[in-house]
Amino acid sequence: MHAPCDRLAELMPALVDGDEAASPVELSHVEGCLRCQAELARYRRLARLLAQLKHEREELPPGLVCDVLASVERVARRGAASSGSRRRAVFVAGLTATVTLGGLGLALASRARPLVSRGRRSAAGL
Amino acid sequence: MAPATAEPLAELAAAAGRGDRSAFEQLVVTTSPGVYALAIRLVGNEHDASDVVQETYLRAFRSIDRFRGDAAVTTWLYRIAANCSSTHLTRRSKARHAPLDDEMAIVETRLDRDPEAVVGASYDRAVLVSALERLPASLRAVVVLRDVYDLPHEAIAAELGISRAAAKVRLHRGRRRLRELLFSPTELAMRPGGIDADVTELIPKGRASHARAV
Repeated sequence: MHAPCDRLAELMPALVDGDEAASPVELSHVEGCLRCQAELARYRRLARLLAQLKHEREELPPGLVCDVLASVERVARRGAASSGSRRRAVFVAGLTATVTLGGLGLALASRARPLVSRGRRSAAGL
Repeated sequence: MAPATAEPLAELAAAAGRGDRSAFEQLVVTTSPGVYALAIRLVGNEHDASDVVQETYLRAFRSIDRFRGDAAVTTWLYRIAANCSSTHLTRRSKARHAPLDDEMAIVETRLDRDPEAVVGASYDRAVLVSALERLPASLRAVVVLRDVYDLPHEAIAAELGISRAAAKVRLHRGRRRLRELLFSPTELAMRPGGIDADVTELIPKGRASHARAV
């Protein structure tokens, strides 16, 4: 095999889909070289065959989808449980805050009795 | 199974992202044969491929609420599956105390996959699949993800944890190996009407266009 053909044979896997660009000298060589064109045709054939595999589907082993869905369910339950405990924590914190604020409110109310009594009156008026 | 069109899959993914569990289940049922096919190509056997499928959908479930539909749902799943396969192969190679390098070949021992035992219209495909299985796993992963599933170099590099340049080098080495396996002189001598037959037909009529496209 001639030197340019050797070099192009090395480059061909990159040239076939434009990963690398051929030089003008290499291009004109391929144009006049049946051997290099045959090599390029082989890589193109390979590319076509590979692309055809894309739409193949394999028959799943029995039970795989059920296993997948069961695993997802377990993860979802764990997620729900942890977010449930988060919700409980938020509830407890909220409750504590309410009690504290409530206590604070009472304390303030006890200091500002006239205001509260006015409020009570207006509430009673409604 | 016929491949589902993109739009219903996108709708399923969007519904699943909003917490619709039955939409996620439907997504699994629809896409798993394709994901399983990819996993088999990448990890080389059905048992490991099943593990990869499990892991893929668990990861997908955990992140489906962040799926924005920038890519097709299948591309998104293929990327996750590629990442899971890569992790799986690394774990497997460590367990066997053997490095997963470019020279490690997968030896095909099943007679029913022997190219010489297969005849008829499916010959080309069978030879190709057999050749793919003989590629070292690290080269096969890049060739499959790029040339079969059309993932961009960047995505392949990211999911396999290698640089873009390394992904390209592996791709070109993998293609060269496949070319040697598919179109070896022995193969040509034994099967003059086989996989290489169209090469001689292509040359006279396609000469100019081949050269331009290089």
